[in-house]
Amino acid sequence: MERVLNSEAVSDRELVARLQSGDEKAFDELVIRHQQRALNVAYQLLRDHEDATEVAQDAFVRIYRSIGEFRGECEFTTWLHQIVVNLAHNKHRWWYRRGKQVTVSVDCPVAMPDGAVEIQVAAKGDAPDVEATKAEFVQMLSEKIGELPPKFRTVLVLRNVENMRYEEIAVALGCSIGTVKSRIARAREALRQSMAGEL
Amino acid sequence: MNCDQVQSDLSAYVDRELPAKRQAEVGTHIAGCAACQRRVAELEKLAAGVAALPKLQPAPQFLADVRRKIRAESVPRTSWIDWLFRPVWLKVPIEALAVIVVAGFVLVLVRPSRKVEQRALQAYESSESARAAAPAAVPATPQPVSRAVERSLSSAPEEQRDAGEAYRGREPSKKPAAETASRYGNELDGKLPPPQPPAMVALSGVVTPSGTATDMHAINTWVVSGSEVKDAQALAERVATALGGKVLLTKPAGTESSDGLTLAQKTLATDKNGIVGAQRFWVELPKSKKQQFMSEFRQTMDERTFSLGVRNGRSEAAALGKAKAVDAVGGAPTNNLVVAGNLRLDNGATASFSKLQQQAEVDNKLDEPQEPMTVLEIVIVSPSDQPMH
Repeated sequence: MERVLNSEAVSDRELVARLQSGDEKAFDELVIRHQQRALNVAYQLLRDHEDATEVAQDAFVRIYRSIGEFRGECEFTTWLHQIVVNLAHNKHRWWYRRGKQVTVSVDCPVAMPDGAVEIQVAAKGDAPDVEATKAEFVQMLSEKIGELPPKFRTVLVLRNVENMRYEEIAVALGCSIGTVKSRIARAREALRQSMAGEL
Repeated sequence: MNCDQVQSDLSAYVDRELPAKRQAEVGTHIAGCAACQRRVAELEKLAAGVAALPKLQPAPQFLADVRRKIRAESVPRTSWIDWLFRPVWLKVPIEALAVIVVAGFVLVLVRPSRKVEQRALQAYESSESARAAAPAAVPATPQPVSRAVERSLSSAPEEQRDAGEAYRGREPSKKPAAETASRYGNELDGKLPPPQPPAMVALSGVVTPSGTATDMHAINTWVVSGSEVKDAQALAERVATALGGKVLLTKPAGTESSDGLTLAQKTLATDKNGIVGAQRFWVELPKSKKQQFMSEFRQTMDERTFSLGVRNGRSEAAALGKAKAVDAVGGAPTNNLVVAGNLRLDNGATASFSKLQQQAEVDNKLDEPQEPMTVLEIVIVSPSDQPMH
């Protein structure tokens, strides 16, 4: 997974420091650098493009407002994930209370008023039949992940989509490393059982 | 080490999150266990599958939207509702207080002052004096009170108005009486409902037994219900008896009658047959008690009028209080409250009584040594006697 979307000649920590000293351009750079990360985490948790965009944008707004409180005790991305996960959970609960059924087809392009955004399935360099099989597998996996409890889905996304270490996930979720380890193991076991015929 | 001992660590083993020693132990077991190798392969496939989940590309205006949201949160709400009411705890009480103060101020300004009323009536009475000097100027037929008063006010000579002011020891008014009259006239013509036949008690014609009229134009008027009119005589008798006087049902010899009424009261006191003064009685009492009688009679009648206003649910009457009782009943007619529908008369009556009192004081000073007794004439105008406009 490519974690760097823009030039990282300047570290996140430095950008944060500049933003804290009033450099608005530093904030723009942070947004551009991490917008896709925030958007995809939110999307995996919410399975709704519009909601995910809203959550990701709100996360950056919150960061802008709270940048003075950020002490640098964790990575900026950890802080960002923490905010995105919290906002996504709030949004999920908001929809859950209203009975919205969140379903999505992974190979279905999402057409948005602000421009069509194709869902990109990572399948490069394989033969078409292999690629098709992988796409089918990913689609099924995506559906199964969608059926997981949010806390399982969250740790899986943070671990395997964002490549976050257990320690970072623990910080982002405000729990212990042992809890993260346990949740990931249980989430994978649940997926393994539900995908038994496909593995 | 068997499979059960490594099962819980296989996921972390795949993620390489186990402590180095544990990682090596699990790895050793997996290398010799086909079942655990299959399990690790499945976990790696799942992890790869999750990593391959669809990715979204942010919209081009993502940053612009973030900036817009930040600006929207930064700009204070400036809608007119916010401007008017927020913060609620501060602005609403202040605004409510301001509304009350302004409303009270406007009420004071709009309501005609007693000074203006007295000035208007004084001019009117002066006009009547002029008419008495030239009888031909008095209309032969009863006229609507409002128009009669209006004409009288507008035609009152200025020197007479000034003389009336001088009587009170004030500077003559700079405002022409017609100005006040037209104000009253506008209110009557434009706003009030068609006048209802009023029942009125007119206290008038203060004369001496010797026949010398001393205060022929003094008037006081109360608006009461028909049933209240019946009580007027009993009330007068009770008050007069307490003051050493008595009620006379016939006109005492040597006294003048309705000539002492003003034009307005003549109009009100004229019955359907054109007879002036349909019902009247006289109160004879010591002259020194006249003012007291007038005061008590007025007070009682005012209280009755006031209570009627309250009973009819007109909170305005209650709020205005006793002193404004006459004004308060100048509203819409009700079933058990006969209303004159003539605010000018009510106001004028209030003002004229003030003058009557002052005139009575003069009378007392002049007449006390010669005439210890005086006679008051009270004219009752029932609804059937009231000429229609």
